[in-house]
Amino acid sequence: MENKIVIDEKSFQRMEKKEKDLGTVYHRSLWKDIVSEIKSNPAAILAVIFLTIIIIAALLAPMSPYDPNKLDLANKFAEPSMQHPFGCDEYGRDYFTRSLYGGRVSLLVGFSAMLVTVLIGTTIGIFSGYIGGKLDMFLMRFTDIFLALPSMLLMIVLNTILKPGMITLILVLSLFSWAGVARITRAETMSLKERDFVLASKNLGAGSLLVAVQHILPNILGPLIVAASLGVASAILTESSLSFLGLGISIPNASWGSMLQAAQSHILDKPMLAVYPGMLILFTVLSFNILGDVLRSALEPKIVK
Amino acid sequence: MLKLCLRKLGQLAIVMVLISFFSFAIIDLAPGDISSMYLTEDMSEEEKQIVIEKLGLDRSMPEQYFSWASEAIRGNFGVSLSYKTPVAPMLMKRLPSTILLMGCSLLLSLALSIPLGLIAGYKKNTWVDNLISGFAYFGMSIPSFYFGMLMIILFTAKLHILPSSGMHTVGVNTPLDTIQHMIMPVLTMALSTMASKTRYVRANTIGQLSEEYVLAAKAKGTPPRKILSKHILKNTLLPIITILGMNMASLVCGSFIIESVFGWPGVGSFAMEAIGKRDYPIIMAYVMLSGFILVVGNFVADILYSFADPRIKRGIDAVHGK
Amino acid sequence: MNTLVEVKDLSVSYFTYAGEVQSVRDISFEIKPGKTTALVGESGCGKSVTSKSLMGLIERPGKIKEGSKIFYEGKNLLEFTEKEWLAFRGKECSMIFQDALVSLNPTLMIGKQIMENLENHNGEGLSQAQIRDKARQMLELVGIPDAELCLKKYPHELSGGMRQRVMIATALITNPKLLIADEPTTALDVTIQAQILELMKQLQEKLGMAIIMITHDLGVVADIADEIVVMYAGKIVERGSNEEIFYHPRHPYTWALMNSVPRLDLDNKEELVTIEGNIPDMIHPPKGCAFCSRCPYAMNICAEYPPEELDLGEGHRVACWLTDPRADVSGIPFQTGGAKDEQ
Repeated sequence: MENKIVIDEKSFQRMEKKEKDLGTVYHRSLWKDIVSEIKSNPAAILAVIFLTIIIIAALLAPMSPYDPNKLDLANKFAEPSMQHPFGCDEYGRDYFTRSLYGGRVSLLVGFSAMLVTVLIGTTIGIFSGYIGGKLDMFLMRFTDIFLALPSMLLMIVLNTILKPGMITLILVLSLFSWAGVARITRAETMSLKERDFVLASKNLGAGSLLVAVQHILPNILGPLIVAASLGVASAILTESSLSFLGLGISIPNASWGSMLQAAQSHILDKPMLAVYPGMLILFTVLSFNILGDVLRSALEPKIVK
Repeated sequence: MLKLCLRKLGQLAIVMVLISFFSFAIIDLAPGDISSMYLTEDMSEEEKQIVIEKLGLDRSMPEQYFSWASEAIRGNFGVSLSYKTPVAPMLMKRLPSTILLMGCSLLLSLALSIPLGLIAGYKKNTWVDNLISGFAYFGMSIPSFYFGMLMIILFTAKLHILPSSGMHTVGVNTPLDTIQHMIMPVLTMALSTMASKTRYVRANTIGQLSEEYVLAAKAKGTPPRKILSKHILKNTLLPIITILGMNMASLVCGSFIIESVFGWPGVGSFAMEAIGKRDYPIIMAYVMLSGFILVVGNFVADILYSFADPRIKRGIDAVHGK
Repeated sequence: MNTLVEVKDLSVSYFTYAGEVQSVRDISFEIKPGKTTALVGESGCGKSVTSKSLMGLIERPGKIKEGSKIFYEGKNLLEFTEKEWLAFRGKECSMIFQDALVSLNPTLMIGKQIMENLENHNGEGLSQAQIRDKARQMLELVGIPDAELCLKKYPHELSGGMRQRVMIATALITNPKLLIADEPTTALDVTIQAQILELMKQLQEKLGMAIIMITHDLGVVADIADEIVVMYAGKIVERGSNEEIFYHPRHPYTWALMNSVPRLDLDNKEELVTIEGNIPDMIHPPKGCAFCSRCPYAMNICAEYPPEELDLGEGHRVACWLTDPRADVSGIPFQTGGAKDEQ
């Protein structure tokens, strides 16, 4: 690979240096990182596609010609057909429509619970980490207690006692998951608050709250997004367990979990009634989990040796 | 060493108290009158009053809690409101079945997740890893009761080879029969704990593999299998001990649900009934019991870990001037 | 004198998400038996990657490129099977690393880790007891008091200097012909540094192995090196004997390196030389000489074409356009040019 070397009079003259060579800067934005990581992972692509489909389908559920709760005993246990892609349940209700409505409920509960969790957890985490000292110690003990509690157990106890319904469910779910988010955000806040740009901002006189929000929040966005995705997965899973036990969303309202509960009594003769909602839960939760993991590796700092 | 144990025991006690208080408070705040379940129409006012007094419902919540707690410490968990017999013996009778289930699941999940995780971590990003990781993802994302239901559909409804509920077939008392009944519940419970353990072992293995000492071992010409067994295994397993503690929680809660799905006569399904009947002595006792198993599990895991990691053990000994 | 190791046209790249990082670009050099060669350069110049290539420890996403050859006693290492590598590493050639704390397994006893090297290459069929004995002897050889006790300790119980001695013992227990030391003293205090270097010199005299010393510390180099190889941005810019490089550097980079170290015997008025700028982007390396952008004497041709290596005699070689007779050498404080300078 020897190129012919071309020499003219100028070749051996000293070079005029212009600006200094700045070296290299590898800059990639958050969004680009995420997109490229997803694109390179076929499982992630499938996950995103599936979630898009299911969310759109759930949103469009009211467009179905069937009423998910109306009894139609003539169609009791109808087999899957063109009019009834999933068949009908024991009350003759179109199972596909019920699945879609169930999706609305389960997804709604999942997202809402995640939002409340993140809200509470982040607030407590940032305050605890930023202010430090006695407040931090107190809040962390408080958080640790919640982490140590057998959550599923107490959720069941709580749900038994309180009035069943969506709001209760969301609140109960959040009650036992904010602690994890608080831990993470506190850790991130504590490492960030010692960083120069925060100290500099403080020196310029910015108020504490402002500093916290303006500087710390954007930097913990990464771990938060990961926690959010995994949080939705966990919330949907827990909700389905609770609804299955008869707590939470109760029959006749459709949620994937309550549909499973209803299907349990017919499990031996009409197994498909259990299979459909379960598969939907499985794939939705799976997609959120895959997404969360892919997001996590996308946001990890890359080391170039 | 002793000091560490004592400190942990103290924490254990505090958590137990908190759990009990929390549960007690919740139950007490419940809307709906507990007494209504135990009074009948044709009781006279005095009889009703007697029942209420007996149930202790006329006192304030902290008072009730205190009297419950002082009895509980002595092992007396009261009398079931629905069965009218002491709670503690009823729970104890059903405990062995639950322990059997939990124990077998734990062993099975450990036996499978450790080697699978090691292999997946060592062969990162190959088809072996993708297969094992994919399997772990599924295990994590499927509701455990749903998996149980699927198993019932497959093995009972379609294949007719395994019984779908209970612990024994009526009239039969052989170990083989019990094992047959156990297969599906144990597999179901093992699956969910196995998924997260496998991923954890895998992540640990990958982390260890990128450590300098592995490079140094390779520079000595140590073959891969020896690196895995001699170097990585020990360092990977140490954190698993702490995970075991956390797994106690999911086992305890898992047993709750699985026992219901499979009609397994353990403390879990017993507690489910009690919740439905608002039988709060049983509920409290169950919460304390599972909380106890959970906390003790964590405690034992912590102690084991300090023994296993020479850095911690030597450190502790050094502080105490050994 | 025959050659122990001959590296020819070695190129190594790391294929990362950001692109192909060309860590080592087409280098060639030789190692003579029983002598110490220092591999000098800044962080990122490719010296560690070179040493790892010699041990076959380049892993994904790194790849040694086609056409590279590394000859050890005549055999091409890069054609080794896995089994041949296992026999080679630790026995023919051992490596010690910068931070002994993380290079030792924290949960294994010292003795076991030293013995491991010999166990891997137990051609003579020694028993466990004999291997253990040898380990103890090695510890004594590297100057650790209470060798017997030390065998049972864990890495975190020893001081930095002791740990490094343990690493050396581990590396030399199999009597290798080549020892690669990757910045072995960088993490140590200066006094301990001196001790370790002294130890290595003694051991070399006793055991006769060749040493490749990778470092960016010129004080270390002056002390221990017979030959010096100067690397920059994946290429060798100059090489020669210790004396030649220190007293008669020909390459601007080498010269700047030598003069950037404070010396006690210098006039107060002489300034320390600093080298401005950073190493270039190794994903898109410059097409000419890599040092061009930081070189105060760069010419137009330097940016266009990489310089060829010129043999100045007695093993002193340099790759720089300033050696060309047509070069503009005005104001250069050191000797350039093809002729060996007269003293």
